[in-house]
Amino acid sequence: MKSASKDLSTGKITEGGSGNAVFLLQRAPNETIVDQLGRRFRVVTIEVGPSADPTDVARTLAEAGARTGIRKYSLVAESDLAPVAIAHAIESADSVETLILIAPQAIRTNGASKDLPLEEIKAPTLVLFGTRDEVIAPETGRIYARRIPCCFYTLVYDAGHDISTDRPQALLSVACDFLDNREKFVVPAGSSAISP
Amino acid sequence: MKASLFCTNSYLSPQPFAHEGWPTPPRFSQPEIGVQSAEFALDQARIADEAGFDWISCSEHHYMPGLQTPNPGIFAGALTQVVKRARIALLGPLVSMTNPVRTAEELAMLDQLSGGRLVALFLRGTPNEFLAYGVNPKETRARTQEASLLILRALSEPEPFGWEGRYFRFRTVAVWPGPIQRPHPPLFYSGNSIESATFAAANHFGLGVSFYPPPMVAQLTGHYREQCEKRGWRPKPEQMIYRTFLGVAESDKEADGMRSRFFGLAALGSMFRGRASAVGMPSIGDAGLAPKEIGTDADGKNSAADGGQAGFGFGGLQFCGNPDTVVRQIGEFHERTGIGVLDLSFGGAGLTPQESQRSFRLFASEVLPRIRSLGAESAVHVEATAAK
Repeated sequence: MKSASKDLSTGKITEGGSGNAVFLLQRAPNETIVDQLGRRFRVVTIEVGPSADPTDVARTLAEAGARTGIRKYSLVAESDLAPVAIAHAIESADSVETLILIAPQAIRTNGASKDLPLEEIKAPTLVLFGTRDEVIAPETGRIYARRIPCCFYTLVYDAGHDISTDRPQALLSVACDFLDNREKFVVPAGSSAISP
Repeated sequence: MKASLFCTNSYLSPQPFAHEGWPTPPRFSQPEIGVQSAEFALDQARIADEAGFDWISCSEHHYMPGLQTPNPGIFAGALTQVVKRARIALLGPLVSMTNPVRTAEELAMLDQLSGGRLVALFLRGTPNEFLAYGVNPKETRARTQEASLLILRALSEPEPFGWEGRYFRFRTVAVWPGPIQRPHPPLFYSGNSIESATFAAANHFGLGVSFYPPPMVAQLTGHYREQCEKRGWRPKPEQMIYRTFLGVAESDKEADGMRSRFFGLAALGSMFRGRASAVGMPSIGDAGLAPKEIGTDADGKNSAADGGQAGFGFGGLQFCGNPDTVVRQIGEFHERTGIGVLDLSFGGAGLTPQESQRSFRLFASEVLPRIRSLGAESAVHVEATAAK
């Protein structure tokens, strides 16, 4: 995908591809995911670096929206970046059309949330956990499913916490379906005919 | 030690058994014999329940008269209505080749119908059976593992969820009714290979071993217990099942006669011929031959693919003799393997129905009461250790 990078005050954004906009919030870019998504969507990768704190990340996210001029987008965030993405999805409900949380660390395994009003998320949300996640129990997904009004909790078999590395194709498959079809991603679209 | 009756719903007329090869052509199936067979099987289950058997089991098999339970869930559903006390043991569905969510729904429903008496064992299937639903044999180990974990999840997950697997994809899973036993009924995993025993231990499944001779069973259960210990848990004896054939007679001499005739007709051997030979099945012309090494036919172990004669585990009456002899054999077997549940078949080619019936009655009256205490002490020890 053709891309253009810009250094922001609190991080770096890379933009490429065409189609509906997807903001991908990452600590470090996963090239497979970025490249594959970029073939179908206008992907804005927001790289915030390993040491950025939540305030910086929130600012970077807001700045990325202003710099690119994109007003409506889907937001994808992994692991410890999920709380910022959730907060942004609530604050910018008019802009965030769908939300994908990959192995989110916004709720502790004991069920205590980090003071996030998950009930206020307006966007249809896909929450993914790997069945072998040892950082945060995949069962935590149940809590998102109960609290987010339109939530799709999905387990990625045989993946650990880093789903995008362990099973990138499985992640892309479900994520692209969700980005394309939102709530209707549950409806199979492919044909099962053997010899039509 | 607990005892389970392996209820095969075998076809009652010998005619189709004379057919060489698998599958058996449906033209041999006569409606009236079909009805009689099912009535007889359910009656046996009822009698076993009243006689004190702990479990009544059934198992998925396809296209053959000896085991007429292609959908074991349907047969188990019938069992729930005639077996009032014993557990209903689905040992088991061939999860490598069916829809795992459908299996989870059936298990939950069976648990409901039985009032929380279900136990289930996930099996991979024998190579001939992979042909029934067109599954690539090479993928069946991985499919079995994934399907088992998906079923486990579907039975215990309180929220609707999706599953992005390697072989199975479901965007919406929400099993209803939920199981009566929470978080789920006791679940077992096929343990006929070292790899499977490791998988069972890693995922807290019980272990089901079938037909191997005792030294190999001991090797498998030993490995399983070692793997469980590594992962911080210890299985109870009743979490290890062994399926085998058993024959009891009034005297050892009579029992020896049964032993020598068992499999004389080599009826089960025919299921490895015909179309089934396309998947490299072993020829078990001499069904009494012991397996050479641990591993399944699906892995190419114990097969005759190299032109040699293969051994297969279910070649003989593993426990055979008068009641005293059988009690001693089972005691030694338990001591050696730690197995706490015997899933027993009393029938088989070469034995008359009368011999099978007498064997069944003698076991219930003369053997079962005397093997009850086996394993009880170690079960108490396990529970005490767990409590600490």
